[in-house]
Amino acid sequence: MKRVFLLALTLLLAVSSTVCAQSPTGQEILDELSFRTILSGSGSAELTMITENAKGAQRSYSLRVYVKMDDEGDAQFLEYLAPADVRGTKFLSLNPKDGESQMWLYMPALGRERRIAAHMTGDSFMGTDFTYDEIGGNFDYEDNYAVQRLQDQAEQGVDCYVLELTAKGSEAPYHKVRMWVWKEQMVPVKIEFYTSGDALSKTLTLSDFKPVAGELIPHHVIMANNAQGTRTILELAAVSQEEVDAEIFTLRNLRR
Amino acid sequence: MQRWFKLVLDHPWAVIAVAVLITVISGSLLPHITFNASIDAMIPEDDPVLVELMEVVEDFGTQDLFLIAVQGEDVFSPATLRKIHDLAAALAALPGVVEVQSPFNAQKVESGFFGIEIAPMTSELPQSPETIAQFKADILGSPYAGRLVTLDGRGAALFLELDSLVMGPERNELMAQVEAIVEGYRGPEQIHVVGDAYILYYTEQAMKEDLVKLVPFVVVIIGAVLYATLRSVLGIIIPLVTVGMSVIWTVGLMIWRGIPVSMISMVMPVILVTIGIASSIHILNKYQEGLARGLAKREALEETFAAITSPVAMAALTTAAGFASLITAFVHPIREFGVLTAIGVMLAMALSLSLVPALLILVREPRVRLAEDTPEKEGPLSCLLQAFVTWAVARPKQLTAVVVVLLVVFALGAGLITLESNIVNYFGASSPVRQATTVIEEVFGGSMQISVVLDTGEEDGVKDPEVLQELVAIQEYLDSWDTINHATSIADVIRELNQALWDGDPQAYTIPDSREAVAQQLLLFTMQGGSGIDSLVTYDYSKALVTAQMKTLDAEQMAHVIGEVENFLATRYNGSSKLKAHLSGTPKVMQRLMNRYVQTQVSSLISSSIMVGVIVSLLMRSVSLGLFSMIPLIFTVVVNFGIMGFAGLPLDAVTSMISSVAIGIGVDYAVHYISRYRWELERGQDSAVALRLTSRSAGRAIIYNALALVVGFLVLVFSHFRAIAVFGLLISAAMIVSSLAALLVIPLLLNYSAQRQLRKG
Repeated sequence: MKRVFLLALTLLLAVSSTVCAQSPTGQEILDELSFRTILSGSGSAELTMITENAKGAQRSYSLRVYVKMDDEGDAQFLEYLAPADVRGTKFLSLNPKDGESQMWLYMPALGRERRIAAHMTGDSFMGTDFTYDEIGGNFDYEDNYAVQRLQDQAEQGVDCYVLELTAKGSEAPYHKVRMWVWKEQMVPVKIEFYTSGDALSKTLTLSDFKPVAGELIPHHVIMANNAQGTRTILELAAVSQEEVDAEIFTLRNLRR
Repeated sequence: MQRWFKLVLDHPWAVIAVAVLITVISGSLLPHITFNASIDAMIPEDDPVLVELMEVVEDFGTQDLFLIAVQGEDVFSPATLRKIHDLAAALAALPGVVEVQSPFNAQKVESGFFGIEIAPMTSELPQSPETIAQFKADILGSPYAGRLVTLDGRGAALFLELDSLVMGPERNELMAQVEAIVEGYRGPEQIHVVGDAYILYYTEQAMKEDLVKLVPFVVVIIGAVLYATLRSVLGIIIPLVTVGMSVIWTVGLMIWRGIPVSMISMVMPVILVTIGIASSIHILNKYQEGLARGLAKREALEETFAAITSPVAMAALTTAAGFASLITAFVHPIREFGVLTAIGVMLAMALSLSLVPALLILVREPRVRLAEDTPEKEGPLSCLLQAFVTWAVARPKQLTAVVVVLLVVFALGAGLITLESNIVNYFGASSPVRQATTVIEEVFGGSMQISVVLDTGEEDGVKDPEVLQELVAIQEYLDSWDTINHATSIADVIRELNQALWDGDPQAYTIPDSREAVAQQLLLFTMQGGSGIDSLVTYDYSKALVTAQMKTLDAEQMAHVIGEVENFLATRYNGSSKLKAHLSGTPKVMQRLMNRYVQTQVSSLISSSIMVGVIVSLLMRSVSLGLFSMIPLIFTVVVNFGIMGFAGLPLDAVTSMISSVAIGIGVDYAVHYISRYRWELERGQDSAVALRLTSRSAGRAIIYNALALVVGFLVLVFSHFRAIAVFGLLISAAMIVSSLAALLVIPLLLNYSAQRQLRKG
């Protein structure tokens, strides 16, 4: 009896997987899509970062950001432009492939820089709803998640593929990720992150796509923390994909 | 009215069916009964103090303190540390608990290898001698010393932040879970729980226990009184069924209107049962009297209701008026109690005049001794009553002098009355809640939170070093009070950060001198994953909060402290300052309530006197007799306040109702006395004889009536709440005083007026 049941189940699964195996498959979509948040790749940008608490009160900062990503690792340099009381505050983050990550903050009013322990950051990027990995675009989907394609849906007024990524092991930061991929441009427009128990933890919304040096880059990005009711909004003002001078990512530049 | 009774006596089953139907409908609502003992619920929602508190909660989160204290020989012993750690973890896992601040996870800011480090006090539970020594040094050297761990190492505290959205029954469920968890960790260490939410839960539990205990108790007691008076099983059952129904109807109405049972309305069933039986007693008495004279059942009943309707209605009306006058009270639950009890009294009257005759016509008449014209027994009571009249008639000046002297003495005592609005003090000194509060206050410096909001009126205003210095000044001022401890604000965070930035130099525990430095340090703080400032400053940095722990004080001390703190703030931030500051928190709400008890007292006293006076005057068609009826009551009220003053019993939400209740109930004695006197005069007696006869007959009834009420009200003495026990005692005393006053003062007044008329005539 049990064997018959198992056989039936196997058959059912086999049939359903052939039915669902539409073209392209989830894995093909995932391989093809181009996922760029603001700080991925190399280049520089000016942006406004707005953090919003659960009651909707906002704090707004203007930043200039430089990013470098190559075989040796990645580096980020941020300078606060506004508000006036933090103008000139600079942040340097160095993540060499073979070596220790370092973070530094320079505070002009105190005339000194301070090293920030990476393990102290609470995984939140500058107190926003992004983690350092998320802001850097380091979503490692290939290794940690199994992908499955769901029914197509319209999202933000465009036709989308819908992918569901399920964590393979405990390495994955989220239990489940659901992604809406704009068919025409093969870029994600919405990503939902679920923790164990299928609780919606965060929602990333990407919009206002503009081509920059041949690539489509979202100029309006919102990360909503559904658990805490907070949001972080990034608005891109100017983007350049030009290579940044290595001199930028030094302690000397931080103090200057 | 005659037609009504004919109808009732012709169709008794219809009356019973209607009554039972209403009772079944009301009774079906009983499982939906809700309780609310919240002190905030006592104040109208739109009251400025409450509105202000809600604004603070909106800006900074909950302002209620919730504290669990562990006391032991040595909290730094491995076993006790593990216990505290596990307890904190178990509590933090409860849904509805937002955060548990413990000695382990308290945030420390220090200068380390990486520059500034913001981290929990310890990342793992210290168990080895070395790690324990390190942890002990860390926490006792931190700002949390004295707050999370006592300096002598014998006590540790957990501060719980509760989800402010978890309210009502859910909140109580959470408290039951907290209690169960705490219970599992008790021994040998003592664990105490203190917090507004817990006290509320405890109070509501105590209210339920009280109701379950006191209501059956009063039924048994009143049953015994009924048996003693009427000497028949019928005499017990009919009055109890009548008042029982009126209580169920009233409670049903209360539930239907969505009114929760409060600390005050909790006494309603006991009061309704006690005062509700009087009319049934009168009716049954009169009925048995008729039967004794040999009348047939129906005739006896018709005669009974013809005679009794007006006095029963009059008594109910005046009593209801006394309760209804509480509608002028400031305290919300007092208004609800007043109106509901007034309705309950009227319902009991309606049932006495419908259900009682319907039942009586159906049941077999009780066997009564046929009238043998028993001569008046000249027992001690009769002698006493005669002595009263003699005193009033023969030595009016002496009696007047005695009354005046007593009035003056008790009025002086009334001047000593204190106020009370702290729910904790509504419990007796031996109750667990009081004891936990006492321990926690001695060890941790306070069980209530007070908060000062400093409003700069502009975005980022709090980042101004001068404003931060003001916060320091407010903290220092608050801490200068013995009764206020552990004042904290965002200025502490800034000073700790600054010190850590300058490598832990104690000299650097200061506010930096530029706004930019403050802003950049705060940026560093958030980047480092620092948390907890949302409860100290608004998101736009326009307002900051100073919080402190305050001890439970008696009302006078509390009024003094709050007054002084508000004075300090008003002087420092007067019109010329761009800063605005105000005090908020539970103690402020309590003070507001306390101030209003006096107002409640005065307004309900005046309105009940007027209402009752007018009703009596109308019913008697004589203003002077209306006034005469009020005089024993004024005497009673003054004596009541005098007793409270001399005995140190405070005026609180419960005791502030006594005068209105006493006036409403007590006026019946005077009305009864005067009616009988007039009836005797109409029979042609001269006034002195009429007084003697009145005193003998009506006087006896008045004494019995008062004693029955006293016995019923004394049941309240067995309440969990000291405040309600005191209410029971005082209202019983008021019944005795008002009945005695009626028996002494009314004959005095009637005698004076009779002699004046004699001189005129």
